[in-house]
Amino acid sequence: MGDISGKGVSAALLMATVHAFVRAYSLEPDVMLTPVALGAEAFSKGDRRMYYRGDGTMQLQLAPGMLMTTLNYQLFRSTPLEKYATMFLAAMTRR
Amino acid sequence: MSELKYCNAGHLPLIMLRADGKVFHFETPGTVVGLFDGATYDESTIAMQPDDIFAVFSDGVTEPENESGEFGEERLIELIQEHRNEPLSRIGDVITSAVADWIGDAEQPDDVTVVLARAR
Repeated sequence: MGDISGKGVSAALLMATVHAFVRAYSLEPDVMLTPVALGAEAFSKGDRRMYYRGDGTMQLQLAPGMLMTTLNYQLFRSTPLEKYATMFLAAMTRR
Repeated sequence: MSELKYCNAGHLPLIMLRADGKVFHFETPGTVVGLFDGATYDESTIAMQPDDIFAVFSDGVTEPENESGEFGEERLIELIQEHRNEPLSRIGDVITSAVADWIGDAEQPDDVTVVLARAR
């Protein structure tokens, strides 16, 4: 769930960008993000990814906190200063 | 049992409506995303029992005002409780219709978005 600052076409475009970021980061192996996106401190936090089953296969997914940290890094660098979003990111797994 | 792992970047708190009728808010510190360089975000985990429902919503749901005041979170919670045994898509329809009725002929001030999930 996300809410972009501002209204209109520019906010809608940013929402599309954020949507794509989240989808991409949800599926990419984190090794692809390591060199550029994340500092050592964030990485040292441990439980940074989780596994879930979809269609009987195991997939790699960045855990929500890690994904948000990465998204912040990207958004800060790719959008005008005053553009931001509030966002709630959750993953539900059955035990 | 299900497990909900979440991260909140400046959004409204998650509302958990437990199967026994109790309602909880879960706030996690975390600033908005995209505004501050180097911000990091933690995540939290909540255990969910069967038939617990969680709701996350945009301020466009709770902030619309008419002459009676704001739509408000309490009204949102009441609606979910009242319809909690119905399919989630139906609860979603009930909420968006209620917000639309609340706004009436006035201009809709903001996007109205609700995410609902129920543990199995």
